[in-house]
Amino acid sequence: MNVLIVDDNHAAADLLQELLVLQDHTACCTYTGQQALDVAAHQRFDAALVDLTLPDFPGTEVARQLRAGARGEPPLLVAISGYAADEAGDAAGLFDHHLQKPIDFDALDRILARPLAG
Amino acid sequence: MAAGVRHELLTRALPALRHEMAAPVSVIRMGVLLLKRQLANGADAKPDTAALAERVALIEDQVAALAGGVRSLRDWELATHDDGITRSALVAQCATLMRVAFELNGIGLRLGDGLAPVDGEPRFPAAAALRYMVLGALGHLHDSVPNLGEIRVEADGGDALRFVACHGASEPVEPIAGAHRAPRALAIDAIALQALADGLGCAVTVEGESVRFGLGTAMDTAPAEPDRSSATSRPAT
Repeated sequence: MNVLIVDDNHAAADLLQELLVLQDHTACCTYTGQQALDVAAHQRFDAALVDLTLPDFPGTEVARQLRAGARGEPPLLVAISGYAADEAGDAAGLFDHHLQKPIDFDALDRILARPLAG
Repeated sequence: MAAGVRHELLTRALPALRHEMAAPVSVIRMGVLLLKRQLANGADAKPDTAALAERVALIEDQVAALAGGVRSLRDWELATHDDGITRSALVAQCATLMRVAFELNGIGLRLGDGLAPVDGEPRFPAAAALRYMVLGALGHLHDSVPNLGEIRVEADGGDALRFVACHGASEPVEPIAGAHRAPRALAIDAIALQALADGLGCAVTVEGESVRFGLGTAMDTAPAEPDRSSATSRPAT
């Protein structure tokens, strides 16, 4: 899968990218919401892993715009946050999955494997 | 009642406190996992020692950050001697804890220019009590002011803080954020705020949609210790 990572914690984003590459995915790191939207405007992603607390605007807004701006099938949207799902503010169901930090990488593997299996 | 109010305020701050510690744990976990997978994938290859050293240094940094987070939990224990806190640091710490929860509900948190850190700033005693008072003031305006758009925190003289509610359209960014705004067993009404202040020995004034309290009045509730010279050192972890 081609995965977009959006996390203002550079170390976390970079490690996640390396782990995904080791799993034979391709991954692109962005560190702000605006960066993510700029990259997504020119490149199609199968999945986006979005931190909910970004410095410029909420991760939910990134998800909304990724979904709205998708040409064709929107990317699989996975929220990543130190906050639990019920604390993080995604009632609108913008995200397909919510992973709480520290990330359970096996769970992420399963999430990313599912669309390919289907 | 004061203990109940403090518990309520700590409960509201808990998601942010947990978030501060989850971030380094997440990096540590991924760093270790990456090392394991790299070892498994390239068991026969010559290890890149420079890359390994960089990875270990990153993990060490994150362990230090995590240890700092664990130690910071003591900031909320009243019965602990502390070194006191400056007004700017107090406001910055509490604003950081509550900002995400407020912003998810479209409520801004603005700090006045007079709250920037300056050299030689005085420290006020009973820092834990003061943290609860700041959260109490924020919580009170949050819970009691309709159509709250922003809370301004301002320096008041040299030793007090004023919290002013400003009206606006405080529509939650997401509907469930309302639940985040109020995962509360207890609303911080004026009575609760007064009970909190009484319990901490703080003089608080609620005037309409503003709250003021002095920083020099909070009681140091830590037990007396025979040797004050060692009271401020924290155990190494």
